[in-house]
Amino acid sequence: MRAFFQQAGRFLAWLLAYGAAYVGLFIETLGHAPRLLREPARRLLLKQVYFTGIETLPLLTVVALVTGYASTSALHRVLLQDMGLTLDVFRALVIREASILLVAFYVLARSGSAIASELANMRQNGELATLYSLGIDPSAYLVAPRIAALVLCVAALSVYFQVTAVFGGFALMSIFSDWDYLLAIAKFNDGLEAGTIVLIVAKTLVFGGIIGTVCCQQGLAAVPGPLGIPGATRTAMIHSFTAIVLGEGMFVALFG
Amino acid sequence: MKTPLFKSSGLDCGEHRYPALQLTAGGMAGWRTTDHAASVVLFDLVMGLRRPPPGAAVWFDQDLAGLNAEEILGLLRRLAPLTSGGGLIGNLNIGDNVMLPLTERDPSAVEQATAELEEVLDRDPWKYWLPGGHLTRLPFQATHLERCLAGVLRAYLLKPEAIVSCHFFHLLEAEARQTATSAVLWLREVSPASAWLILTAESQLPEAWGANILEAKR
Repeated sequence: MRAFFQQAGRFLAWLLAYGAAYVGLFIETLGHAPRLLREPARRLLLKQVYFTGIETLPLLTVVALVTGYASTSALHRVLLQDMGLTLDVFRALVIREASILLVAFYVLARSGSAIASELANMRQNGELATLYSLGIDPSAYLVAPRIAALVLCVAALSVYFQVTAVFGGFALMSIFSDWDYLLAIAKFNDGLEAGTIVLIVAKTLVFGGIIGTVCCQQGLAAVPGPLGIPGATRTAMIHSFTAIVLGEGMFVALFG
Repeated sequence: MKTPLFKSSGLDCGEHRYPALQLTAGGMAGWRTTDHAASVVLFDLVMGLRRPPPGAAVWFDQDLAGLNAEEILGLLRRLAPLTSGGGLIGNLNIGDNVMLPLTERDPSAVEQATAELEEVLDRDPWKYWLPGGHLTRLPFQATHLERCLAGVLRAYLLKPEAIVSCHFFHLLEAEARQTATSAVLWLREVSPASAWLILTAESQLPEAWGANILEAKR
């Protein structure tokens, strides 16, 4: 029993240490926000938005279409062809929860891993020290644009994903089954509440912040040696994934 | 007596111990180390990248040991580092690397600096050393000499009060080392930096710094 409590205590201390590091970095980054409006941070922000937001669009479109079609089709079949009920469940399950999680995991896999390994590589090559010796604060120059870009991109991509899943997925449904496209769109819009939209936006901003902060922190903290870069990337993935799932749980617990 | 820009009560880098050193305006001072690693540690201590012991690194009457990160950054903006391989960032091209610290420190000076850079690169011998087209290359596409030359240009555009060079000629072949030495001599002529702190390995000093630069001072 004592061993269990010791282990639990260690885990709690570990969790608090990481949590403090992530929160600390995020707060520090907030202080650098005004610098994002001027060069060179602005250019870095736009570059990151391009890599994370624009380059992701083609594949994400396919994923959104398939998700919209497959989930609507499955729900329609399970719920005995009841369109109203299908749309209610689709709205609550896919639009409010799954689509945001999918986009967050997609951005994490694509850009989060790249950011963690890039910063870890920079640290190992002494580039962070170079920036510092030039009088440039690495967290202002490297971290703030990346976190800001991920926050913006997760929010924008989530909206894009949801719009594509609804309009595209419903269109595919109408092609492959007996589904009234215009009626479905009208019913879907009727059931959409302002509170849901606010919750969706809040979630996307939080998840984007989590991915950006955790991946940047892990990249900056990479240890020297051959295992430094893969270790930083792996830890960034696992911590971000866990934090997103915990965040989702907290949102559900707090807002239903 | 001149006010020192930099003074040290001596530094202890593991196995290596260095005596007290003072750098005044218009002067040059050199700390010779026996190996590459020691000069890198020395550079980190002198530039506040590692916390030095009190009195071991005092720039412009400010002891690095007692300053916070923001204060150290403010102090570093008065200096220009000149390090091995130019100290370039891998994901920025050579031109952006040259302009980066200036863009961060003083955005209003960028336009004038760009014109100055173009003028320098149009001139002999720079147009042979670093042709303008090479500015768009990423550091890994450039030779070690080109990266060093980009570092010299950056130090020139920053117009620092002092230059700290660390292991600058590391990895350069004999011919490239001659070119780099000429570039450093050019920087000495044109830069407003009033002092130069040199941290380098013993083996490099006689042929590059020793013969051409430190001796030239005398």
